[in-house]
Amino acid sequence: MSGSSAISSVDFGPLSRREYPLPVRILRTSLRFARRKPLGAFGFVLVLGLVICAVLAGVLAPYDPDKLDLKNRLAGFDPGGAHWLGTDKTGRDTLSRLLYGARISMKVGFGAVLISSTGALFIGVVSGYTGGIVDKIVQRLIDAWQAMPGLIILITFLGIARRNQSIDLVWAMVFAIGFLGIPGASRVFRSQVLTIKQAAYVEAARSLGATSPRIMWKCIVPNVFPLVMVSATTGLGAAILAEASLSFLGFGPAGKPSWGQMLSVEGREYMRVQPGLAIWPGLCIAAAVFGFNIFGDALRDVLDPRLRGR
Amino acid sequence: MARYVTQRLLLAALTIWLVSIIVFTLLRVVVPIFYGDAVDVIAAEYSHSDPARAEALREEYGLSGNLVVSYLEWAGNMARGNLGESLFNGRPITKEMHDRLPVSVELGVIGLLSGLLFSVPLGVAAAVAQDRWPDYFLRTFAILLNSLPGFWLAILIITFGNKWFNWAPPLNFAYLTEDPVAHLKIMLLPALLIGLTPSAGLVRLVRTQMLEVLRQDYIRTAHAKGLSDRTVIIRHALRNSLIPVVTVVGLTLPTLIAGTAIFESIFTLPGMGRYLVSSVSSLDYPVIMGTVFVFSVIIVLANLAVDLSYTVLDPRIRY
Repeated sequence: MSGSSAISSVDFGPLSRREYPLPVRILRTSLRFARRKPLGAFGFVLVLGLVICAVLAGVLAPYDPDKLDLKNRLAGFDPGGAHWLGTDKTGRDTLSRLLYGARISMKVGFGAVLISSTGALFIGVVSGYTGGIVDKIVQRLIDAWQAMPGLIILITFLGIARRNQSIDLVWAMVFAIGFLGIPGASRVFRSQVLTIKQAAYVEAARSLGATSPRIMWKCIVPNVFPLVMVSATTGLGAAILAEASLSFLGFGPAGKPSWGQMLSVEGREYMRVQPGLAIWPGLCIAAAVFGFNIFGDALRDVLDPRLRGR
Repeated sequence: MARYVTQRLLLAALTIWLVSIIVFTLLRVVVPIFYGDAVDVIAAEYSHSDPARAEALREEYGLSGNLVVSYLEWAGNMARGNLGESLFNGRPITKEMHDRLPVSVELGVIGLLSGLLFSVPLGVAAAVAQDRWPDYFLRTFAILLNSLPGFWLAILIITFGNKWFNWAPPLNFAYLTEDPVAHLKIMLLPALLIGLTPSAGLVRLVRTQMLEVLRQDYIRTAHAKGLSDRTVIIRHALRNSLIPVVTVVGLTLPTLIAGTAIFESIFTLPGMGRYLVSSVSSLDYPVIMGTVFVFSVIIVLANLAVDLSYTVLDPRIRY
């Protein structure tokens, strides 16, 4: 940068980067990520696209997702026409339903991951840092929690929650999927905490008289955080897949356009007539899960300390 | 060694006990908070509410009374292999499972085996070509496979099979003992689909394990004494890298079980998964508790078997 002293022309590594304003730094980091991990960047673009679709569904959708168009039932693929991706048995516009479906998928995905990451971070850090009998008890509980087959518990919980009219099933899904994601992620975080715990800076903080909560918050959590980002990204894909499977089996929010539900039994007989009904929603699920998986995979290569330098 | 085995057995027993408490709490404490118990469901179904009659029914179903006492009763019966009866058709659950469990187990086993058969060669191929285009291709393919919802593939196969070849999955189920050919025709497709999702993870695992082993000294020795690449990879590298793959059997079990629930529903197979799905819709408590518990016990026992098999499979591990 011109105007600064001569010394800044010497590369001080991380220090010299601070001279750039934040947006430039973010852009530079992203570009470096894209150069090193082109597939991961592709995943990110895919995911970003879907998030934009979800947020702007109200603007982008050509029709109301529940609007019936009985003259154009089971219309086919017709880009540029009245219904670009066709319509279902009652003439509802497939494209609009997919856009609104993105909303449910993203809501469930991000909501569930927020719950599972926060819960897992808390359990992993406290259990790992405290150690001893607390850790033993918590780990045995996690064993039992993990031994229960996830989708089966989800089916049970949602099958019952849906009987209560006052429960919003989208939020019930967020809660249930998030809750079931906790044990697996907490294991990963805990093992990382066990390594960090031994670091010299933790000992230094302790010898300066820092309390355990302070050490956990100031020394441990920031260092586990990259791992949290990685597990959250792959967790998003898994949560979206879980939501789709549940909706597909008929345990999702009834009457709302969700990708899994669009593939479920009711529509199946019409798929023979109009295969688009079977293709598009599945393609959306696959694209969302693929995007998060591939982005998370690249993020893991960059951020996971266990893989660094390999 | 004996100490390790005892320790593992005790841990497994502890886990099963904790699972039984969680399952019981979930269905008898948490669920009533959200909705109500089985009697409320029956009342809602017949849109009929008579408090006295409801109380009597609760008494009959063992839903009233002290929770601790009912837990002990349920756990005691369970330990004796009596899972109770369905609230809605009165059939003993143990007997129902006796018919249904083999179907699900068969689906899971064929699925896992076909998954292994498919993913081990791919994993080896990716490792041998590390950081060259076959490796990138196979790794991306594995992630892609992992992202494809199995039920979507099933629907595409059914839809286009019907449209183009006029084919449809058989409607009537045939047991292996009755009609083996028809049985296999029915089971093969769902089993293959069940195995597809776990195999994505397997490809990646086999690859990393192979890479680890290929860097060992004994592999260099094997090359140095003039063995062909083929022999080194198959006899020396693959055999050693497959040991950790055993762990996956334990890890993929929840995925396989989820798969049985989904594919038994799509292909209308009389297995455990569909049993659970249908009993959830009628809130048949004893059936739900029994199936969830049995599934969990299977997972715990499989993980126990994996832990113990290490002591046999890997001569380096001695406890």
